[in-house]
Amino acid sequence: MTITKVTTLYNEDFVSWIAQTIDLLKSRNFDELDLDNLIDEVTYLAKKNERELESRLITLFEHALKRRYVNLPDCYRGWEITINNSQKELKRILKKSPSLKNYLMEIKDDCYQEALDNIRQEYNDTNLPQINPFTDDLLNNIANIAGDLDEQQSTENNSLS
Amino acid sequence: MSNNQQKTTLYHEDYVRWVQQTIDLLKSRNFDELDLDNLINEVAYLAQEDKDELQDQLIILLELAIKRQYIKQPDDYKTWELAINRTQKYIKRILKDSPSLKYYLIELLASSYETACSSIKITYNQTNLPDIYPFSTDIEQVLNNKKFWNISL
Repeated sequence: MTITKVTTLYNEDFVSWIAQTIDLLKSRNFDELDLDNLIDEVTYLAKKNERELESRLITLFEHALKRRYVNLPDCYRGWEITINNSQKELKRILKKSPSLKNYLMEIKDDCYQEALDNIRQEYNDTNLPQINPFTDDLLNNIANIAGDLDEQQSTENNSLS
Repeated sequence: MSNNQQKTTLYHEDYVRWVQQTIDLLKSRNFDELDLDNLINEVAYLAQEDKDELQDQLIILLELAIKRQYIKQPDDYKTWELAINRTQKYIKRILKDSPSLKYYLIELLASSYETACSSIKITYNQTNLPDIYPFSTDIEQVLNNKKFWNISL
């Protein structure tokens, strides 16, 4: 009966359920815990970190793509700032949970494809590579990206001329 | 290293692994091994997250209401009104999960209005806004009346 009561509170008023769960944990009253929902909520904490990593990585790819392939010099500074911020956030998440590095490598290509779709919709006359052109260093060494890119672009231009 | 220190170390070393370990301990009902202090903090954080989101949305709602009532840009009225309605719905969704947060929302009205005012003053260079919260204090009105921003109502 108690379990039913507690589980109902979870559906009826989430914040009250949290207050009650904290009281039960503090008093080590484990038998009264609504364990299934607590496990779900703790699972959500890990998922939330994964989702944040994913969304930061997509943002990073989107702006790296724009910075490298979209010829709008007036926007470069804003894009570079976003690249820099996304990198810092990614590093912060990975510092908190180093084990997420493996997850990052798993989702990297999917995130690139999503970024590519988004940027293609925004700049449909720009030619963008189907395969991820960025090295893994993109995640660690963004400060050099703009410079490296300009160098690379001028090399490409030279070879064309 | 004491048992307690061992328990909390993983939390600082690798948060996501700590979460996974905590899930395993809960599933196996191995409560003695739980890093209880950090678990309590994390559960408390879940409630705080909902409260923070509610406050963010309330500030957005009040910014829109201030614009609709005090900024004379008729071309934008429709956009603002639609955004007001969208934000009302969003807040109601949060409250549906946690009806007790309604009281928290009432407490937040005055301070959220101040925050909304200061951002509108910067964006629109508008200094002529009431110092005190001018809209309805009936939370049902604020969340359900599409024209709650109209102070002559």
